[in-house]
Amino acid sequence: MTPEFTARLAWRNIWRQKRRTLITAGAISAALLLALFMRSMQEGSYSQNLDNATRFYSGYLQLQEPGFAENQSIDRLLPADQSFETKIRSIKGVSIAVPRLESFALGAAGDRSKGVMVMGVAPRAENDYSGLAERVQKGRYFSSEDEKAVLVGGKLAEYFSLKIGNEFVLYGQGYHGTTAAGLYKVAGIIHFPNQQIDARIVYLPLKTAQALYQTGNQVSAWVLHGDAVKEIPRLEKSAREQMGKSVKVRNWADISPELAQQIALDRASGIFMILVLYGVVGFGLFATIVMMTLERRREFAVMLATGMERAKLQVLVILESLFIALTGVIMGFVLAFPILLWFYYHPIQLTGDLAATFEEMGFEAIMPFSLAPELFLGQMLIVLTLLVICCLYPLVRIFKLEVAAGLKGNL
Amino acid sequence: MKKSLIFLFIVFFGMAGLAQADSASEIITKADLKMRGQSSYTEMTMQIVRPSWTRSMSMKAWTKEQNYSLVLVTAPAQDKGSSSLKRFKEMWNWVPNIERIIKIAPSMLGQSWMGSDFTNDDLINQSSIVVDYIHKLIKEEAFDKAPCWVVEATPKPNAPVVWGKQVIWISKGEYNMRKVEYYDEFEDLINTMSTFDVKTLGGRKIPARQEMQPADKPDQKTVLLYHKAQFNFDIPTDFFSQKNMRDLRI
Repeated sequence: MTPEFTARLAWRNIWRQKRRTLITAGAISAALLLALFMRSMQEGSYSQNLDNATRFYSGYLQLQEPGFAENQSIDRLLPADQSFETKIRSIKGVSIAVPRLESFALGAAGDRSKGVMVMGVAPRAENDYSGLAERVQKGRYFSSEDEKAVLVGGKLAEYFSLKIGNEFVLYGQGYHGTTAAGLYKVAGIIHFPNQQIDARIVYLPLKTAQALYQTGNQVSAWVLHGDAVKEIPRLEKSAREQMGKSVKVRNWADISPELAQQIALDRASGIFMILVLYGVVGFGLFATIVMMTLERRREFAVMLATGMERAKLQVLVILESLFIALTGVIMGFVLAFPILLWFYYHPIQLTGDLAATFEEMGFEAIMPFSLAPELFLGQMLIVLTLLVICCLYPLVRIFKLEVAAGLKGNL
Repeated sequence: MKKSLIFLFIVFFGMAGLAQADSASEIITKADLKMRGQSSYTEMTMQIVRPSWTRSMSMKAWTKEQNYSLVLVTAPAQDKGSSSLKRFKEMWNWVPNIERIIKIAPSMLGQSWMGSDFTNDDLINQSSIVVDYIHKLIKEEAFDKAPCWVVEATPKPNAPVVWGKQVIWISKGEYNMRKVEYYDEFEDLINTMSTFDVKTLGGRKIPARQEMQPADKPDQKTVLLYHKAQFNFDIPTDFFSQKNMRDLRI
């Protein structure tokens, strides 16, 4: 019996019970469709939101002075000169690199004061990267690279009752113990969905911030962006190789652990749901395979009696199960792919409360989809694993089948 | 008979407890008065020591009673004329190069003063140790060869303070604060202040060197050196005004 013949026999065998095969394959394909839909939506929104959310703060990666992470000291800075920038831009896979000077200060206006987070950014480069200008709700964005003006978060402006054109004082500790004090005009009020940031953030042009903290041409971080979220590990590796020991490379998950945890939790709950779904489908598949084995004991006994090897019989049953599963998988993919493709190009637009919640978290209120091949492969792998587990039963059954008793039909 | 014995017992030890609490507060009050008097004037240098740099600042300070103090920075040139004013529970900084007075929010009192290891509260709100804390004598121990009382000070409920606890070593006889340990609300040691070089300044024997050491950063500290002191002179209350903090050019 040639392998092709075994395969043809298996294929014919499964269609002896057309309805059963179709129902089993249908269950697999439905589970696959649901699982793919959900995972595609999850992974799609992770990479979309990551790409978006990281632009405002962490970037894909940040280069920092090794001691900066510890207490964000204004004394722990990296150079911002041309040669250093050239070195950064030659890191393989870097598409964008923007400098930032981040520190703390006491913000004051009128007779109120409050600790604020100061972010010095290169106005044009920053806007190209994070679209900061679009966040300006009132007033305007920075008009020059060294303007003595600030953009303040909406909640912070509320606290100080700031209006456009008002004076705002920043007062704190500068580089190497100097006193940092500056008087600025409020150019604009920006809105951040994240309330904590909105109540603390003050943006300055980078050159103005460097003058305030008397740092010279230095920055607290170089923020790096690459082409795709999935390239981050590779980008991180090449950044480490390029920059050496004197520069610390931190990825977004290290800088914004709360974002990383949120994603990990969401992903885990999605995977759990899928496992439950596949658990149900797995029992369906198992039932079919059990029936396929039990109702054909006599048939198997005849085949063994006429000289068929047990091993070949086992291969036959495995092939039958495999064909059912593959039919299911192919049906699932054929159904899922056009749907996912549609949503990939037309992401679901969220509205109402859900949209507000999303924006609160700093995400865009859309549900993009992912078409990553890993997703499809992963689902296929799960189905095949189920199949292997289910096939153990008929294998054992055939191995133990007693030919004489089987022929008589009394088992 | 038995009952009255117990009663006596309670009264006796209760009184003893009271007497002790009283004397701990007395020790603190005396130590506080020792450093500031009814009014005080001091000239000092502050050295901020960091692993990669050090910085030195000169200043003059005036205090009156427990409620008024004014600190003026006289060097280096870029910070010259900066001043901090405290009236009762409020605090302001004058920043000469932007010509603005900044009111320090109560939430900022725990922050560093001019980049040093002293907090705003340590430098300008010293008297609160007398008014805002409950004092308890916990032991006697020598510090820098001087026998000391060790007093534990815990804040009174709702007191506007930044520390969860302070443990203070006060030398017997001289009533000098020789060592202060500052704890946060989780009872973790944050800063330790130690004082050395007791000598006569302004007619009083006081420590001329104070060192503030953060617990988690062994390689950094701030040293305060007293050069001149004067106590119990007449100074009008309106010396401690926002106008004067701007105009001081001494």
